[in-house]
This record gives sequence, structure tokens and C-alpha cells, in this order.
Amino acid sequence: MIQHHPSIDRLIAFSAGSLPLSQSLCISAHIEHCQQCRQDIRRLNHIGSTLIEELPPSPVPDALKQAVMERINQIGPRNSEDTAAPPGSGDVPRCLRSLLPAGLYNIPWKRLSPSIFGAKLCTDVNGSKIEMLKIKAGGQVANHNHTGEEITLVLEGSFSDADGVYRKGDIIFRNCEDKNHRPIASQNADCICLTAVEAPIQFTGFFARLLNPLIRRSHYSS
Amino acid sequence: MSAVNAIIDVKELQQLIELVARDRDQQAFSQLFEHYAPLIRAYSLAREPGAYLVADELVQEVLVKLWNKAHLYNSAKANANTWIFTLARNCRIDYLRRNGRYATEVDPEDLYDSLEDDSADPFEATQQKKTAQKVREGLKQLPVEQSQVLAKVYLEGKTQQETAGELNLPLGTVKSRVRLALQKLEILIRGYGQ
Repeated sequence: MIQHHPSIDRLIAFSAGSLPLSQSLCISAHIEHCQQCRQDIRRLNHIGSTLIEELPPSPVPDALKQAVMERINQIGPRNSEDTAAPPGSGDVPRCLRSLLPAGLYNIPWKRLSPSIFGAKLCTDVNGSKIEMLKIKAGGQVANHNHTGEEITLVLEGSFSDADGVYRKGDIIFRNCEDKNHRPIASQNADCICLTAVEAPIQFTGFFARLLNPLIRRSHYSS
Repeated sequence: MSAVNAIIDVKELQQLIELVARDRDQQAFSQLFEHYAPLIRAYSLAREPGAYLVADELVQEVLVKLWNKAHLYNSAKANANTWIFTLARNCRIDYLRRNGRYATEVDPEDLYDSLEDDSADPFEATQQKKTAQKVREGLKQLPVEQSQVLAKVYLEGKTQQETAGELNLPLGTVKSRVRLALQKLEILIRGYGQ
């Protein structure tokens, strides 16, 4: 049972299409697991459609209609958008299938520490980094603070921190007010997460602080 | 300039989309164009006033998508207007993406795809119909200060932060106006954290 959901403000922005990609990806992967939030998004979509219906219509040039009619004439009986898109392979959320074509279990991980592995997916236009993260069973991420927001979505296994336990489908938001965030994966299975980090996090332990210059490479080291 | 049609009722629009899907009916498509093109153009102009070329491009993309995807439309799942809104929103994101204002790595369609999953649930379909009705009736009765905030977010594509800046309001006020609106529209029906 999913316990940790996005706020209504984020669901609205997602429904309106005004959320940056980094956040949209995490929300999209969450709603694929969460029927409750899917229902909310569908409800919220009615706001968009009703607002559009009530706009004063803007007259369309005749040439535009001709252009569109010509385009559909060239399309022919059925084109490649024939069928609905297939579901993602294995346990990859649909929004990640183009970024993880080989599936969740064939990710080219980079070892960041004995228990932490990362794989960069992409960088958003706002600079947020979108990465996959694997914490080996029982493994721990070094104590860190956040200088920007970090969004984590659990895709496999579970992890916990001082505030609770997070399981498959749970989404977690952390920012600079969350001091000394120290996630630990559950003992029985590796934990695989999707993460979006707005700005580099800072390690706070004495030795870990030496790692701060390295985190441009990845946000997570041990 | 095309004449703006008399209001067509949403059931008729649904039937027209079904005709396009089944028979590739160009007459039906033409009627859908007459109804939706001026609204989609207005939707684009709400975000970028004066950007007529952008608006015309969006109209073209959305209508071609309507033609190509009509057979995926299911009136039991969504009413016609809501379906068109999702096409227009996704095309808008795609436009921003092609112009470097949104990351390019993911197709916007993939972001919203999982919403199609609960199609078989008749209870959910009934609930959605009720909500659509409630939203249509309720939006007109919202105080302007609340509907204005929703319009900034949905039509102009603003974040709540940007909305607060433009209206010269604290962010908390914008958030509470949104919440009050959602309560009145009976969309906010459970507790929300974060």
C-alpha cells in the first residue's frame, strides 16, 4: 500500500502540464503505481478542459483549416500511431522506457561506494539531475543535507530514514530544511529508486565532507 | 476566417470523434475543427499573447493528433473536451520541448500514459462523469480570485510561485485559494500531505 503521495499542488501542476520534466517523471512513475493519484489527476484534468471551453474562441484563418485538411488527407487510412503504446518492459514505468530501454535489471550501474550504485538518466533544462540509484540490501547512503530539493521514487525494494519506511511506489520530497537525511535500504533486498535532484547535496560527516568536491559526478557517494 | 459555430453539446462532439475513428469521416472532422480550433488557438494565446504563429502551429498539431488518435478515444473513460484538453496540453509540452524550454529526453505522451489504466472500472467512470459535471457548474460560481488562480496555472502554464509573483500575493495565499477552489469543485476529497 502506497503511503507517500505528492501534494495536491504538484498534482495540479502535473495535470496542467507546468511541472519541469524532472518532477513530472517522478510523479508519472508514482501515479503508475497509485490508483488514488490517477483518479485525482483525471478529476483535475476536468478543470483544464472546462477552462478551455469557456475561453473566448479565437477565430482561425481559413488557410489553417486548409492546411490541416491537406495534412490529414496525406495520412491515409491508418498510420503508425495505430495502437496504444505498449506497457513498459518488466517493471520499468512507462515514462522511463525511452531512458531505460534494457529494463530495470540491466542498468549500466556505476559504483559510487561498496553499497551505492548510480546511473545518470538525463539533466533537465533547469539543471536538475535525474538518476537511477541502487542501494544494496542493508546499505546506507552517507549523511547528507540538501541544498535544493531531492525527489525519490521507490521502484524496487524499500528504504527507511529517521521519518519512516518507503516502499515501492512511494514518493519522497526532501529539501534544505531536512537536516542530516540518512536513508538505509532494507536488509532483505536491494532498493532501486528514481531520483531527481535540484542542486548538489552536501555531505556533512568529517570524512564524507571530503567527498563534496566529487559530487559533481553524482549526487550520491558514501 | 472561419465562422465560430453555435455551441455543440459534448455528446455530439463524442459522436463526431467516433465517426472520425470508425469511418475516417472528413465531414465530422471538419465540424470538430470548427469547434475546437478556435478554443485551442485561444489556449495557446493565453500563454503567449500575440504569438499567432505558435498558436496556429499548436492548432495544427492538436487537430492532426485528433485525427490520428481518434480510435483510441473512449467516451466511457473521458468526455470529449477533457480528452482534447489532454491532447492540447501534451502538444504544448512537446512544442516547448522542441524549442529548448523543456527537456527533450521524454515524450510527453509517455508521462501521461498510465492514466489510461483504469478503463475497465465502471464505478470510476461514473465518478468521473459526476466530477466533470460538478466542475462545469462550479467553475462559473467560484469567486474571481479563485478562478483567476486556476486560469493562471492551467491556461497560462504558470507555476504557483509565478502566479503569486504576478498577482503580487504571498505564495500561501495562492495555495489557499487553490485549495478552496478544489473543495468547492469537490475535487479535494482527501487529506494531502507535503
